[in-house]
Amino acid sequence: MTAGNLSNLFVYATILILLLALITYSVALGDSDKARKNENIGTAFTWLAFGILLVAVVLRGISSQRAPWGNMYEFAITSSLAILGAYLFVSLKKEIKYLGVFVVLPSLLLLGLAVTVLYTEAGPLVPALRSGWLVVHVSAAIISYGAFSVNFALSVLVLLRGRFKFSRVPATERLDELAYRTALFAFPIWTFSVIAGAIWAENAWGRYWGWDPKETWAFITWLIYAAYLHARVTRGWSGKKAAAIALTAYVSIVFNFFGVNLWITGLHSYAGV
Amino acid sequence: MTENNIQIKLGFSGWLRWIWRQLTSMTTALWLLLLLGLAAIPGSILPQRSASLIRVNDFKEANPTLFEIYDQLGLFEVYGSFWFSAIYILLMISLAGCIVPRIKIHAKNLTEPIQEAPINLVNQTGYQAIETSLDLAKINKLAQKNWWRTKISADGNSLTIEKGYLRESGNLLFHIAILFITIAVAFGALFNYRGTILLIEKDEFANTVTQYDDFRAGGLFRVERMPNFSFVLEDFEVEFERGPNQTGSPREFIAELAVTEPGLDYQQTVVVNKPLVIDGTKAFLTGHGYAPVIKVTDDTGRVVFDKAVPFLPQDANFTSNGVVKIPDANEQIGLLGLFLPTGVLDEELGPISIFPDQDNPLAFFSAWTGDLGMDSGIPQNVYRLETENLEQIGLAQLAPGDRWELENGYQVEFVSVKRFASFQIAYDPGRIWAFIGSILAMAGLMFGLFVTRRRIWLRLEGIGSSQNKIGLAGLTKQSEEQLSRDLTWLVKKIRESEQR
Repeated sequence: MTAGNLSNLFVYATILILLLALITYSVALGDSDKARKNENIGTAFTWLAFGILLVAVVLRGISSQRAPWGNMYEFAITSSLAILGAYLFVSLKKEIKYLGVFVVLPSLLLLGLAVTVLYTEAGPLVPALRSGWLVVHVSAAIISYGAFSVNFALSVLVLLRGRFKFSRVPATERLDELAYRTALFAFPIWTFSVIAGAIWAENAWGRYWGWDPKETWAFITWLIYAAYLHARVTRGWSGKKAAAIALTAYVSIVFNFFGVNLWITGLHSYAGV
Repeated sequence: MTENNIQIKLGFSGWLRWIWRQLTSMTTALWLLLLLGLAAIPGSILPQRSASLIRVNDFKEANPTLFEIYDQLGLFEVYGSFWFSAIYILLMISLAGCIVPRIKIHAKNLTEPIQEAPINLVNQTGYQAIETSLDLAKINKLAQKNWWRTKISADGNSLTIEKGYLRESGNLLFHIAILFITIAVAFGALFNYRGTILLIEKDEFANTVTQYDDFRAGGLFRVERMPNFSFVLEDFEVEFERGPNQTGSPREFIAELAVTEPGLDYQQTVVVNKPLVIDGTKAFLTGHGYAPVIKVTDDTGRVVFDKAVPFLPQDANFTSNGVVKIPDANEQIGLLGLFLPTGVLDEELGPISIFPDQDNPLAFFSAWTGDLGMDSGIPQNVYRLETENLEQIGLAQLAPGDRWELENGYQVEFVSVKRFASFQIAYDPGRIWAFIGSILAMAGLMFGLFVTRRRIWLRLEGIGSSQNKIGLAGLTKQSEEQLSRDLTWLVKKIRESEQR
């Protein structure tokens, strides 16, 4: 069995374990009696899924002998890893296990799409991507996507909080504060990723900024998160309004990944689908 | 009545001031940020002239009426349109109006003495009292040594220490850098030039405006500023994936150039991601294709055409289209060609290429005669043959080396196949400034977001024979964790110096 095949097997295993995590987290969200116990089980599953997916991503890198984010499939599985990683990292320091469903669900969806629609066999890179900047630019983007996903999950909870009866979900202010902190962490990394992309574009295409659809949407995402960070310090804009801005920003990330890669032709056409 | 009075008092300058205050408010900045994002969207969906004129023309042909409306709105040049510019200029004004007063305040905060501690610290954040042999003057020195700004009160009974001014400095630096980047981009756009060239193997390019296929320059660009150089495309190598995975994906493009600068000749290899750099001008390898060599002789045996003709690739397997126009012969001849590097005849799709390299080079030609319209003075697209007024006089499939006799006695020979490479050549004096601006923005962002501005107060609460009782408490608007770390740190430092 090759490293590539083993990687695929591990991705499928991750999907199975994440399904279990999703179920236990969902039960915890609705039932307050055993919530803590179920949350802990869900988190254990999530850790397991994270570990196996990490191995899958590394194996994928080994089988293609390069950073494992050269096409949309690889980008999707690595992003999924980053989402889980960001959530687990925060959960080590803060009590956020109530967030489980809202983090596991997007990474599960992403993995599902990766294996069904986006799948590409491992192979070497097209010349345009062969540059040290690939590692810097794309890894920064993926890390910030992970953190922005946690911000998204928290913002969803801010908006849903009043409407549904969730057990163990803290007050809006607390969610809001945590969401702000994750965005605070992600925003500079995203900024860095855009700058690194511009430097690479200058080297590869002869211009640092050309309003290529991918660039444009990265810029739009940046603007909306900038607005979000400003909203937090503006009177009367925290809470639901801020959460709505955060959601809009996340939609722009998702569109940049799926919409721009699959529907719009531009210079960033490396989907390999 | 009072309202009337206020209205009168507002007056013209009052209104200006009101507008200014609205424009520079955070809420306005917020809306402008979101609005700018919204305004950027159409440019990512509709084809843009700056990126691809061809795709804009395709849109025009497909939807003529819609094109007119969109064009009036500037939707094909979104990022140069008045409304897009208006939003970002307003945003920049709002930004400047916001940070200028903040710079003044920050400068004042940095130069003015800091405030004295409140009388009672007990109700303040993190209050604790310690017994120590140190007095406030010693603690003051301790703090100063560790980069705190300090102030002992006039009566000598309290001490204030402050840190984290870098937060506001970083914040301001970030916003100034954003303004700076915007100016650098505008500056670059005024003086820059960029163009594309298509170079067949062994052909030479000299850096003059006329040699470009497509040339754009900023409003203040001067031709004299173009560096004097030329290069010959000595060799162009391409390699494609032949394995079962991603078959046909490009694996290697290597262009070997013989470059000539005044008083200097050298060889240079140019690959994707590694441009040729001469005096701030960069030449990037952006694409490639095939140029079949075609030789045409007329009915008397005279050679009327013998040249490599670039055929433009239409798909990933380099199914390519090209045109040959021969206006000078006795009879004007035009050839419409289709070149397939690895040609097959598909039952449904007709002749197509199934691999991008030359495994089975094939060409299909149709020959046309009549008035090519090249003497009419109207500029013509060299990649297009308008066949409406022409008469077709033949159709043939040729492999390299094949000859084809037309019914009028002309002979077309498909001699061989050369490769061509396309280059983008660009110069932008603003880019280095935009780069410096980005580095400053990044640095400002890190300080502005992650430095905590905090203040610690110490007050002498009792004097013993050998021990003083000192109360400590602090204040911060940001991270209370940082503040409590600092309080712990300070107490530890005090204990350490006691032992010395």
